[in-house]
Amino acid sequence: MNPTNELRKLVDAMLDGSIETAELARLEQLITGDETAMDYYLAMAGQEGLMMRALSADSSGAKRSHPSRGWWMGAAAVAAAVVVAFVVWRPVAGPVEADGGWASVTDQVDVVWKGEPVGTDVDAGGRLIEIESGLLEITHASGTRLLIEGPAGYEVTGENAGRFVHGKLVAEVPPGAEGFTVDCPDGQVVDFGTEFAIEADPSKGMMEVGVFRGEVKVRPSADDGEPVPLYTGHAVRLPGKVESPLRSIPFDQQRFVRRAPSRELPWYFEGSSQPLEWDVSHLVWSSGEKLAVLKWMSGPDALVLHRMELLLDGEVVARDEHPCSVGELSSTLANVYHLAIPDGGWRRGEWTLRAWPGEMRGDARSEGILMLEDASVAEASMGDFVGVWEYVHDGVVYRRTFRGDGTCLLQFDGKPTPYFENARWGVREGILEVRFDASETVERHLLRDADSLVFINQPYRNARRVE
Amino acid sequence: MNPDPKPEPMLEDSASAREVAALIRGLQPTLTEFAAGLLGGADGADDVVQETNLFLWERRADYEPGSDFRAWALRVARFKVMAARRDVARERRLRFSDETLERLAARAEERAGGAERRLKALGGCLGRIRLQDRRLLEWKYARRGSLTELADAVGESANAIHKKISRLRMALRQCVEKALSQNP
Repeated sequence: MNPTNELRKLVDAMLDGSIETAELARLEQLITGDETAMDYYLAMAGQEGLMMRALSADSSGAKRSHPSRGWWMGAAAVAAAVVVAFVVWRPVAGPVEADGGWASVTDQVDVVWKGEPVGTDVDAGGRLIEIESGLLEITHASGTRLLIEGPAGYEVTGENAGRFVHGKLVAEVPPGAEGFTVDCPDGQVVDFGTEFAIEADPSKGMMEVGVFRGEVKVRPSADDGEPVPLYTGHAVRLPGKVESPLRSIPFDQQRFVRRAPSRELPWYFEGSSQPLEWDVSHLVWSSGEKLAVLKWMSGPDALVLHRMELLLDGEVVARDEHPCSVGELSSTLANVYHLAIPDGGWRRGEWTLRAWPGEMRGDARSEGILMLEDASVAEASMGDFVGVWEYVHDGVVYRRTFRGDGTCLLQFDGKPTPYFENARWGVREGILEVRFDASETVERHLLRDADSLVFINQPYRNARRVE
Repeated sequence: MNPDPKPEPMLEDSASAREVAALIRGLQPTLTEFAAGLLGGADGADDVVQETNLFLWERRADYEPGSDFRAWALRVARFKVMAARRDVARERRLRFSDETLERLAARAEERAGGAERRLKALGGCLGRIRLQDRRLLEWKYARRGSLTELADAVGESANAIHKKISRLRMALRQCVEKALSQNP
């Protein structure tokens, strides 16, 4: 049947989601009054539904030779950039910045604290923050961001100032925060809008400063003269207590970790039984147990694993063997692997995580992430989860409220929903579980840190604490 | 208050579970067409299909081998569409009235056979369209990209892009019908 122009326009508007009330009434009138009109509508809507599946199943277009750089390619790149920028920058719980105090702990990876752990807000006032190992990100109220690699000690002494006792530190000073000052055992470094690194080991009388980009000024303690400027790519060793000039040295940039690494490692499965591997050198900083959580996000097929291994410089140091399946009709089974590095087994090196898929048919496809978490998440208790958590999925802002009495609430875009009405939540081995009366499905979350809630068996982004 | 601890479910490998999984998998195109028809387009259809899958899987013990699995699956999908519509908070578009929905569901059930063949034919037709048209469809359907943003980026009006989509929809439908009539 060839539709009338009117029917065609109305069906297009319906499928595009742009139909208006009066048009919808007219469309309903047309399709309920005429079976061929209804069949036309159902054929078009059905085709609309199948389109994504057909586009991903048929690869002939993608494999055509030499796609020209036509109008679409550049345009789509621009549009994609717009979309990506929008998605990435849509704040979930406000930007991660220090508020209230002089600085905040904004990230930590595999940190082993020396003494009492530091909470999110860091008050100035003489408290030395000390870690045995791991990576600690501290963001000053000025916007200056520090990434400190343990063993290390640092003290916040002002909104844009600190004292670095020992360890490795990389500072990134954004525009507006110029003048960030850090006092070290052998001298003082003042920044002029830049990214720079310091390594200090007072027991060896060693302190070095290097500049990734921009400019800093260095004033050795032993020298009462003018501070010395240092520019991009330069590094110096400070003379300590001895009166001698600064000495230029090669700047070995690889020694420093400049960004807090993502714990979320992407995987793309295409049916091969070859192992999947990820470089986790910047995520593993100590012995003990780590959790590897496999999460499916999209794709029609399941990823089935039978073994997970952690390797140091190519040698297996930890292994967990059991079947795991994610993505089978969007369900998740046994997707947490426990990997224990024996005491004394950690050293700096190339750490690799390796996952062994089971036998699959050759054209399977799915994708998702692998999350590597500290085993300390298993210590979380109910009180740690109580609060309001927010996340964005497919453009909708969701809020989950977990109350101390075991009840919970789910909201979409600020409006309450009945989804969690009969649900109860509790904590088992550090994992929050939401159970529903009418379903065997259990939703699981783990607490990455005080303000980050991770979905273990749902394909959603992490939630941030908002209350 | 902790819920009763339950052991992690084991990977199931019984013959009946495998049969149900295969049945569900085989019904994916049918369920997708059905959900899109009732919802008025692709938006939300995937969610309905996923929820239907999950429901069928959880209730797999209720399935009696030899009974009409498809009819059951479509009933579940219909129920899931109704539930999705009731969830007004997520509604960002107009949906059909209950009465129209009932009639659409009845007709869609009658037409439900052959979705797999339509999907295959659609894939074949997509392989024959112009590359820039295919990219446009990928933008809209696979990436769920905004047509307004695409229009801005390529310097065309949103209306012109919508018209292109409309022409492609119609051309693909005709191509699919032709393919099916030649290989019935």
